[in-house]
Amino acid sequence: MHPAVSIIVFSTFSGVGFGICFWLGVLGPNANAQTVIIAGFFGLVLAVIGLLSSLFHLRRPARAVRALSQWRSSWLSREGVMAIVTLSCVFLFLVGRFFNLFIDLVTILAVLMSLLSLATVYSTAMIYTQLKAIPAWHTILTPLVYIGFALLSGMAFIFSFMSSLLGDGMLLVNLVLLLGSWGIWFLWVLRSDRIGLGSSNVETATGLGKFGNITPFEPPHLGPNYLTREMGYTLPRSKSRLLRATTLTIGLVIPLLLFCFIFFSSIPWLVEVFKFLYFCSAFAGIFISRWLFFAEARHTTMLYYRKE
Amino acid sequence: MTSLPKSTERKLGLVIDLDVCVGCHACVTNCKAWNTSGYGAPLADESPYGNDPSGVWLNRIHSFETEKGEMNALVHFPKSCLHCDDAPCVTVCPTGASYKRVSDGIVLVDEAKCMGCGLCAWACPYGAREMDPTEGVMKKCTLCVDRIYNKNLPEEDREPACVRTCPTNARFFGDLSDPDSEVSKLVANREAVDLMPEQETNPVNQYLLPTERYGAEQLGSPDFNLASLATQKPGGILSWIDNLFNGN
Amino acid sequence: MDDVYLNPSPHVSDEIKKTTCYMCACRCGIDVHLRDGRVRYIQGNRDHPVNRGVLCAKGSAGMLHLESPARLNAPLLRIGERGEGKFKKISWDEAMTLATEWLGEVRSTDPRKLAFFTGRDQSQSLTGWWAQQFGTPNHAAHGGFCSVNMAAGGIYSIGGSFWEFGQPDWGACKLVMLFGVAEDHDSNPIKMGLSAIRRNGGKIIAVNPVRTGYSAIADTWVGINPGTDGLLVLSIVGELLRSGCIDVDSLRYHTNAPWLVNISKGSNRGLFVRDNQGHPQIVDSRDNKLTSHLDQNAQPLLSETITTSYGSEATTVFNLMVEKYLQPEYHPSRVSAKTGVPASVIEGLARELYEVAIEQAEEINHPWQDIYGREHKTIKKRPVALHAMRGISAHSNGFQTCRALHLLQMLLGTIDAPGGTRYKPPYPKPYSIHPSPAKYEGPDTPLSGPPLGYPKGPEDLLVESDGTPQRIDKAYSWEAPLAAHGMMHSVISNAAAGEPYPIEVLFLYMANMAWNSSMNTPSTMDDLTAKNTDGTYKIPKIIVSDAFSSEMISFADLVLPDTTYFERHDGISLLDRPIGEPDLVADAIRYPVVELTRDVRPFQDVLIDLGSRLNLPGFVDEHNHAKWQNYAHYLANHERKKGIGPLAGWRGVNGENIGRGEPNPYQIRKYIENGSFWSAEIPKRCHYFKNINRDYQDWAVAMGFYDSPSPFKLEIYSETMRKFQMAGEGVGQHLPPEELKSRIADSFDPFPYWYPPGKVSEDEFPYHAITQRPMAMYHSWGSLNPWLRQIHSENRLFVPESICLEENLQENDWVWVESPTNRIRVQIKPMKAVNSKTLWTWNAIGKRSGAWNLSPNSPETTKGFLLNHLISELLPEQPDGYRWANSDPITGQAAWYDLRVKIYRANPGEEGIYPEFRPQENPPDASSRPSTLRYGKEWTA
Repeated sequence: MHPAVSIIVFSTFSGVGFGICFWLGVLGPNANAQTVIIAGFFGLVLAVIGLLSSLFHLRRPARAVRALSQWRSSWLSREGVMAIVTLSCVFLFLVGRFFNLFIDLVTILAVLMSLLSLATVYSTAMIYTQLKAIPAWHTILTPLVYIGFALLSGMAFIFSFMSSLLGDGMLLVNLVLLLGSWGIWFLWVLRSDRIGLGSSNVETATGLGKFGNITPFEPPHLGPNYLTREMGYTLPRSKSRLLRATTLTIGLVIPLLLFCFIFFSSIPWLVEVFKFLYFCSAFAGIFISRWLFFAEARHTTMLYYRKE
Repeated sequence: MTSLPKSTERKLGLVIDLDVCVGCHACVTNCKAWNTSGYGAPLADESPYGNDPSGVWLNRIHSFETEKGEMNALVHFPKSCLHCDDAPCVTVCPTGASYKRVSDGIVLVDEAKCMGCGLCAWACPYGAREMDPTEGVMKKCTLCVDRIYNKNLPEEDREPACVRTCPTNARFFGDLSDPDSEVSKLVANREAVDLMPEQETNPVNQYLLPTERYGAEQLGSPDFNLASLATQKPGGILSWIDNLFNGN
Repeated sequence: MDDVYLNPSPHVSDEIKKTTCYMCACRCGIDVHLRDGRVRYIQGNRDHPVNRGVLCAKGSAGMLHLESPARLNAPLLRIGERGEGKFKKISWDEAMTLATEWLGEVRSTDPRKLAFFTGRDQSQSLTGWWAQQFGTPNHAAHGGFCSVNMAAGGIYSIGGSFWEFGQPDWGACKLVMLFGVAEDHDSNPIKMGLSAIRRNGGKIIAVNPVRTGYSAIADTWVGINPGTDGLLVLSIVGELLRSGCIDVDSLRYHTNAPWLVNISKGSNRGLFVRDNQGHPQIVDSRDNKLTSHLDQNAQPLLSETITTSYGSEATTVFNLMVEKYLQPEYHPSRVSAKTGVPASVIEGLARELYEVAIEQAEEINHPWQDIYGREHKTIKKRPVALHAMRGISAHSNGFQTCRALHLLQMLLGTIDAPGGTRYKPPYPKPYSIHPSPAKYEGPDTPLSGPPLGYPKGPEDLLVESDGTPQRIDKAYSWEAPLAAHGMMHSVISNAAAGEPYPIEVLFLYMANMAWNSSMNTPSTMDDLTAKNTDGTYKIPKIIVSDAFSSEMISFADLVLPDTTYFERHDGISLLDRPIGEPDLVADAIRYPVVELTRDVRPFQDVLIDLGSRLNLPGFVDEHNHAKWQNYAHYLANHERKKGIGPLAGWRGVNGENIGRGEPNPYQIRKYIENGSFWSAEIPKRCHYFKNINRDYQDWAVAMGFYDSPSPFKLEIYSETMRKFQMAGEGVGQHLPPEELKSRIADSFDPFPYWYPPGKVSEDEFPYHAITQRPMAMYHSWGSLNPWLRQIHSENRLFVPESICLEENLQENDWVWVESPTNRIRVQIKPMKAVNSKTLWTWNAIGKRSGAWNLSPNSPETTKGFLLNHLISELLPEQPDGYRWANSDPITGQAAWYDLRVKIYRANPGEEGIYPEFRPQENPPDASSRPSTLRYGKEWTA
């Protein structure tokens, strides 16, 4: 699939944004108000950047408001609704903390905020997961990867910039998240390599299986078209391997090393630098992995166009 | 409303006979000609005289080579929206632009509601939807919804443009829910297939498979041998000439 | 209701105008839907005999021809060098004055110095007549490049032809066998017919090196080696003769099989035994005596050898035929290696043909009378039809191969039989009633007849007493004696070489000679720009008429811009290439259905105007006033013979006559009212065996197809061929030049025979390279249409997988393809369903940069290519130093399917199409190219 920047920014930024919100819900009811508010503000901003970016993917963004109407059937619609509800909840929570209002309610809002954040990220993932035509995406692992990365990047953000919010135990959580989310990603990649186009092949696509091996001969139009541009993106195998290795290096190995440096370093400013790098590296890894998520995905439509 | 109807009153669709399609593209351009000036936005072409010509088409013809033993063949394969009963393109639509009509099962896009997100095109396993590059709305086969009920057309022309124009009569239009319709009978009497049944889209359009192709060795009655006929006659080869007009 | 917004009955069109398509040679009826005076939609006319409502990809996209920025807008005069495309706009007054001046001078000095050739030849009865009145023999359409082998092979054998002069009896045949037929003439009828056969449970067998299009849906595909169809067919003929599985009665009564041929040595050897009236003789089985083949009570014997009263030996054509085709060289086991078709397949084909034609024949009730006056109550249905086209035609053995196909049909008795291959009116017309080519008469003098015709013997050739060709293209010379369609492909090289003489004006209509309509494109461009030592062009003046900015336009000195087919009158005349069906006679017109908005004029109007400016007889009255206001006026009022004009419908002052009748001033209006065509059923008794059907003969005379009844026997043995052969053997008064004698003697076999096409070393150039016509393109006239060009914006060379393995080639690799003449660099795609020695590509997709107002780096230029660059007009030098023309030795048909090549991978870094040509400029007033096209936006709902 064509790796559109707008969509990658959408899902990664909203992921980190809602990831922060999730953790604020977990950590925030009692933590330092100022830090919580600053963190929450960043969460909001990142999520909104993500959501706004998705508008760039629309050819008719002015009609985006209609996207809230079909929540009964459409995951994209649900995602929109959930995002708005979640953001409202976050906003209320932050307002509550800022003005120190409705203290009891804030606790409930915090729980709600965490759950809604998870649900929103889940909805985002389901936009892709539901697409049977892209078998690599059509798995429960996809929302797990999305949620895993959202939680990881949210945690990494807080860890990097507002570590005062975190207790000691949270270091372990951070480590578990780092290993766990990349672990799920790895499983996802293994599955996606194995599944290919699932049970779809050119024989089922054409129904011509009984005539032996079927090979696409001539495409309908020799130049590219919307479908081949949108669904025919190909990444050469060698490039794919290199990018996966890069992803793992940047997203997992370097953060792990940095984690060790942070743990063992006693120079405060260096710790801060490492922390900063930690988030950047983890997020960059996630970003590249999301690019790969699209770029490597194969769509059944291409069975009609070329030897898949 | 992008929830799918539980059932539709009719199932209008196409039956495409791969046995006679010669891949002439008549249905392709005739479809484009009708639809670019008909329902919804025109089907735009970018760089029409330039280095990268590319346009929106609602119907395209692919070709495939088959390979079985010695018999290689080419099959031409027209493809447009299959108007699936369980159309994944409809349920993913966030705006309510995509819908399946209860009255006849046609899957349509209400372009006034479409925000051009393109998700429906991703959801379709067949590549039946294409975004218009200028209007930014999704285009797809409408089964010529502006022809089949059009009182400004003579009754006999109230069928999709592709069906009307097909020189080999490889395309049939009708109600596949009616067992007595011509299309249903074709499906019953010939080997008809769903495309990608594993995608569980339950396509309405059906493809009639080509009949078996065979080599010329198998022509004629297998036990009949011209050469033996020549020698069997008394006198051997060409004695038939000598006997040609005896008593004539 | 889920879609209240939707109007199920939107306005469709303000008006429907019914006219005739011009997007290929098929000439379908079209309903043009107009809105606001523009074309909204085009559909097939359901009432039209050609297409019955269907319409192909090209016809459906026709309205975009009206949008093309390649349309010419005004007359142009060259200001740069030839080939650059630098022009200035001039007025029609200036253009016509200049053209009249150029042509007038030629006519008053030596009319032969005008070479007038037309690419698209759908107004040939006008152009041919114009050339005749001008007085130049140097006229033809593109047939010599296209399909003259089919036309001539057919006319000399059966007085008809495949192509569009005959067609399978689609409704009744059970087996159709296609030879070398790709999307072609008669395309929609063929598509409809193939589908009908399939639905009727019939079989389709395709003999074609490439399995695309029609061959793709064939039950059986025979992937033959190119150029060997004749051998395959004659092997089948041998099989049928050996086993006696033939239609004996048909041979006796419909063909010249029982005719006696002199076989004794002497000047009559090989000629028919004739009686005092000149009638060929047969032996009557009732008394074993000789009698005329026209003797109505005779029962001809097929297998007789006699001694004539003069003491010479004579035997029947039949005997000679059996002797010839039972030679071991035609045995399937011997033929197999050359054709690439296993012997078992050849046997299977023979078996199938016999079974369907003979065993499954039915006697059906159908009263008719033969020319002997015998009344028949029934007729034999022999449901086998053959159809053949360019894959046969474009080989240097195409004429004889075409005759072989007709021979096979004759043996099976299927010619014009129910279920067989049927004549379309006004055919059959035996060669004997076609005129012979007219000879040049002198300055300011018309030719005595049409420049093209069918020679009856060496005496009809257009050669000087020393054998020098009289025509610029050398048609009807000893190099191409039966060049019935002229030889457009040799005009430019001959003119540049001054061979046989220099010319003054080259006048081309819609002929893309500088590109896809020439063999050896680069050398043609050189010839068009070749200069004398004084700096003048060797071809001094070139006038080109075309509607679009083609490659040829850039080589014109004067451009006379034509309209599109929506903006002019046309006549699809029975005097020209007919439409209609075996049981239906039809002709048609076009008329302007949209307003003309450019300063261009219909070519036919211009030609008529030129005719009257030049005071050509027939174009002016006794006061030298223009006789015809325009083409429409001419169509309705011109009479070729008394009562016979371009259009056969609604003749007579009140439109009450068909075929023959006074001109009707309202004829065009009647056509328009009827959907722009006229058709009439052929009376039932006339349907079959028209060559010997008395009712048909009489009806054809009444219709004006014949001056008098012209029955004839189908010619298995051609005495005309024999006459030429004798000249080659040195017998007679008209003899070929020494170097051509053996070639004439060999190729003019009176029986169909096969010889290997081309003279190129198979070891050095092991592969064949051919083209197929894509169904969505018609020659080069598709790339100007954005919808059609998207389908074929570029082309690949399709290479058999076995060759790819051998040469280690992958999809999209760049390769060199080399012929003895030239080499090209192209991209490949592997293919399975193709003859293992044949490379092929789609025809005429590649374009010269800048032509057709496409952007200079369009895929047509950067990834599209022509095979033409590889083909030469001449074959490589033979050991005796002679260079044969790359054409059929009988008809001069360009043998572009004879091409042999080798292929090898391009070196790393060698990429891109080769050869490249300098871009041509757009005409000065060319429309700009829009970046987006949204056709019909104003009408969308």
